[in-house]
Amino acid sequence: MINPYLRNTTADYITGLVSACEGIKDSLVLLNGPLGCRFYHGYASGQSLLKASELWGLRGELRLENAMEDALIRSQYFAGTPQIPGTNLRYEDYIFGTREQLNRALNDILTERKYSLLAVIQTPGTSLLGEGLEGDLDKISGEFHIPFLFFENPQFSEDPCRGYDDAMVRLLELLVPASKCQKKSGGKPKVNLFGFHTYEKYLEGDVAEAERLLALCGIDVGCVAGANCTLESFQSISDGDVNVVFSPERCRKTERFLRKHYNSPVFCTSEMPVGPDLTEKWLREISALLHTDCGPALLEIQRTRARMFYYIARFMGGQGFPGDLRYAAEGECSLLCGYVDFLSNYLGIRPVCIHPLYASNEEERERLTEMLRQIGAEQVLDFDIMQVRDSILLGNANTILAVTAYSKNIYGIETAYPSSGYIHVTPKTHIGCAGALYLLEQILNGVRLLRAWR
Amino acid sequence: MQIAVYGKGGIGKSTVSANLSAALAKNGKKVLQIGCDPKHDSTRLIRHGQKIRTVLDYLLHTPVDEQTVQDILMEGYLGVGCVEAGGPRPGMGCAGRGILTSFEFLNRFDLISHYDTVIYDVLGDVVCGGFAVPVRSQYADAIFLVTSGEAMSLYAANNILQGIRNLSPGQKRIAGIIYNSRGKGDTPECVENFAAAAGLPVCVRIPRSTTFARAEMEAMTVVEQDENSIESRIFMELARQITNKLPLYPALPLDEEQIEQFLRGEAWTKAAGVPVQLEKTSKAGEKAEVTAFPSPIPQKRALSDPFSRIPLYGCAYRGAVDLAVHVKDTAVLGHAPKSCTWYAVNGISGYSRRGLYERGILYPAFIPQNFENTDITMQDAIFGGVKHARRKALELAKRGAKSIIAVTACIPGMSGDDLTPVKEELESLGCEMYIVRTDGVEAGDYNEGMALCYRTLAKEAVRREIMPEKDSINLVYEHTISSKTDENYIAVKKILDELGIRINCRFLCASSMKDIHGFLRAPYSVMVREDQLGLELKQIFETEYGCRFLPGVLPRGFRETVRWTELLGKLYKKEEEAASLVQQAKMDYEARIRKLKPVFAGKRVLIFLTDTNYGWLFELAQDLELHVERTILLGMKGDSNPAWNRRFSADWASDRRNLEEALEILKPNIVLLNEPSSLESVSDCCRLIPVMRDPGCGFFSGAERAGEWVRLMDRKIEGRWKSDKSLFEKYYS
Ligand code: SF4
Repeated sequence: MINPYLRNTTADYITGLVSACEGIKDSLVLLNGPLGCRFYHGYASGQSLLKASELWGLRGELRLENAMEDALIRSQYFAGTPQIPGTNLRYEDYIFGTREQLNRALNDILTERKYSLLAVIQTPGTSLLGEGLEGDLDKISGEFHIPFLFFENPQFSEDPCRGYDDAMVRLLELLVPASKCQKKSGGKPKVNLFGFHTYEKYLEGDVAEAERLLALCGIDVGCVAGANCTLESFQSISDGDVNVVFSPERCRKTERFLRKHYNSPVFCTSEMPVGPDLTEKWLREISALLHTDCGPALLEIQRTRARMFYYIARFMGGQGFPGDLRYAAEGECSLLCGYVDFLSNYLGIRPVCIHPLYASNEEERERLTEMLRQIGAEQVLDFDIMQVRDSILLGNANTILAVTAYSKNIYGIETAYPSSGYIHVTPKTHIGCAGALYLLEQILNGVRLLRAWR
Repeated sequence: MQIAVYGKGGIGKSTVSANLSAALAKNGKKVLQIGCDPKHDSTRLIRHGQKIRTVLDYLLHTPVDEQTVQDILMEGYLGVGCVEAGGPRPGMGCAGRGILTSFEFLNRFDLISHYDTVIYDVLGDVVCGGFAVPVRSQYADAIFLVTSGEAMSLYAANNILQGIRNLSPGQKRIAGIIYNSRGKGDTPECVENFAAAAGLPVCVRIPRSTTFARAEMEAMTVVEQDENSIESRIFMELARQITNKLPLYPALPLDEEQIEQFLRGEAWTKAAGVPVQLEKTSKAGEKAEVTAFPSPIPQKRALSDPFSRIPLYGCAYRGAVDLAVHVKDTAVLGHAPKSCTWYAVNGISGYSRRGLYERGILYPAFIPQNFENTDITMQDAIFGGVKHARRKALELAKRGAKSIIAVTACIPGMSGDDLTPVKEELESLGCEMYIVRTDGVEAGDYNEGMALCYRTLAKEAVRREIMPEKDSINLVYEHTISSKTDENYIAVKKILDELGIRINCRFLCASSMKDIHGFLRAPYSVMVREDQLGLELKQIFETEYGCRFLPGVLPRGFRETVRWTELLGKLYKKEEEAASLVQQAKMDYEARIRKLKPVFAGKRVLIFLTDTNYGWLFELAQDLELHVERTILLGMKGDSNPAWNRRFSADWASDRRNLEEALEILKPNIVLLNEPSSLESVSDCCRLIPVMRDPGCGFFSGAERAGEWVRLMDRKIEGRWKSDKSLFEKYYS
């Protein structure tokens, strides 16, 4: 009766805050709120990372050496991941204030083990109370020698990109003062990567592929902000020769901050390097900026192209992908640009719906529109995804599920969380060479199934 | 310097603030006055009566990218900058949050840094977090309390002191008291005694005078109107004190009892807390006398104990929403910020995502197609979000919704949003609305939210005028999130189909509002499960509508199902159908058991359970010819139910160690237990079999479970992976 798409299946500002702060290794991200606000993050986040803390609940012979104390890990502060506990408030705490409970939780947790950073996030209910908790946090931070951030306003219905961006700037302000900027001289050039977060579907694989390809270009990666980087590596961001920004939607303020406070240039990728062409473009540009030789990386891309040719030619034949094959995709504009370039410009498949998520700005939308215009498909922008049928659908599992339920013949390729639950042991990616191969693999299998279902 | 002027509403703090701003400006200071009272008339005298747009009104109506600080910053007398925070209409929204939002806006433009003196004029009746913002360390350096000698004014001043002490314990931030005389009933001694008791000076005494009224009429400050007047000189003196660096004092409020006694004309000495009349000569500001007051011990309250509460899926909002989406033809309107609904919807859809992936099954109830959210904004929180909810509800009705279940989250609860008028309006348009007022966590945890939704629909949605029809039955209180629900439904439906009995309403699982309206159509109902909430629901149906329920719950295991089928046969006058169904089932059951026996017969079993709802397990053990060596039940013997005691004997244990001891002594072949985490591992010759509390209903549920145990009887192969724990710790810890 009511088209459910995007009414409530996109993430919120708090998710953005959490995913940026959780991206510092061994940080403690505490949600000051009732169980309701915390429960989701406790279970949903950090799925793409391999963290010892996820095994703290094991008992018996498998109990880890540094596991958290049993009573604490089984307390209500922690349901799900131990990195994102909550203060577990009741309604009375809204009336009498949350200070005592917050202090209690922090003392219990910080006494038990050492964390690298403390981020306290007010949840919708507690944000209305307007308690000035900085004083308490300041005191605790002094006692336990831990830097802290306090996010007082969860911005209610804002989107996660803004949350991530705001948190990243606060992290930089706190941990990487401009005065500390020190460039090392000599050696391989070093870049920092921005725009990744722990809610990323293929975080480990994306980072590994970016690092691998940059290494082939003779470029080292210093810090990958938001991707389980250590505090030390985050603090050394100012040493980087270039700050590389993926997903500009998530990094608008971050980008401005980097430009203003640190001496290094910022290289912003407005199209995610999905597929061989955009990967090549990306690597050539960075290499040119840093005067390195990207030859070995280009060779790798050529091999990837050759391999893809074989599989497309073998399974699709001389005509390539069927003319009536369609795909739909949702995501941030930069990611969609990547998918459109690979699926349409490289593989030759027509889109049926391209749906940008979150607050993309005009420039980003325009770039995407232009890309679609060039293939005569600008009308698919914002087309109702629920009307899509007989298509490959790139999106999160909620969307795939909703479209599958009310449409026909949908082959879903998950590009974002939440997921269907498939467990990825081998790190996967959709970017770079490895990403192009994996995505092609999914598409080829998808085409087969779509044909069979007809 | 930043100065906060606090006082009870109507005490004249705006007049004081405006005159102080004027006096400071006259002293050559660049002054900014920020009114933090929803009444928004703080800067009226500085602006000669010209109104200014409040920050909140501006934020409400201006797109973010068009906002500038110039639009809300006005100039008044001698270039004093004037800003009014504004607030919601009385009784709506959250004014405190409004103040917070205004400050966030001003910070965005770093406005404060452009002035050398900032005056915050703050309402002090309410000392909620929002109104305390100016007191926070990044704002006011000095705080003045404006008070008269009237009891309520002094009471408010003491409240403010309490607020300040809580925010900055031990810090010296109070500049003193500004005594604004109100004339009759207002004795200066009271203020002086209070000041002495709180260890504060009375900085200036403003007499009651018609000069203020005259200036007010001309909409200007007395400082501007007549700089030589006594009143004007008082403010110039205050401005001088401020410019010459004020001494500051800590906040030492009187505790509740002390203030009570004080207001009755008594005060406290340090010694034994004995009330004595304070010397009228005691000098204000002489701290030595007063700092020795026993500092009030804050009353201890029970904290939310993180070590004792049962883990649930979330707050009441989520519980109610999880249940509401099961009403198929009804729209659910979440009156909540996106955050709350994003968490809730993912919880719901998680089940269907897994369902599709793991079993290839689509569960439409868990793909919330009829869910709409109000996406509460900051403005809604401040001004109240009823209008916003109304718009969404009307949109739903326009799109064809005939019924809506509205569930409220924490924010509307705190802002006091009442959706009843929306409900009435919708009704006139032919759309029903049921309001489940969980107010987020106010109603409690997840289960309480579910309970509220159940209760609301049971009491409000069932139509009384419906007449019973024969051969139909209601299923009440199915699990909504359980992989067993569908299995149970299919099993019970099969029995009912055989008997020619139709399921009328599943309350509440994949049902429609039409089904709920027609609940009374069925002459009998059956509880699917029973706990405290289940019993309460049953009671509602029995007492409100005179419904009749079958005894107990849906049957588990063969014998229970036989008895249940026979009972149905009797009640619905279908004895013959029931008898033939039972006979057929008996043959099937025996065949299944025959197949299983070779694996289980004669095996020695230890059973460990944490509750007593396992009749089916003992019957099954008997049928399989298992040799039950011992049954250990965690709990007290008094917890047992009589039926259990009659039929099975068990040892009652108080802790899990009894299980380990029994294992040592008995060395059983099989341990059946309902809480697998009770035992980490067992010896090689013993098999650990987890049993579910709910094996499913119907004739064959027990036998089916035993069928699943067969594979567990094979010897377990211990993988070598466990020895790689140290490697994991080496590389990833
Ligand atoms: S506890 Fe309140 S604020 Fe948190 S998710 Fe539930 S309704 Fe929302």
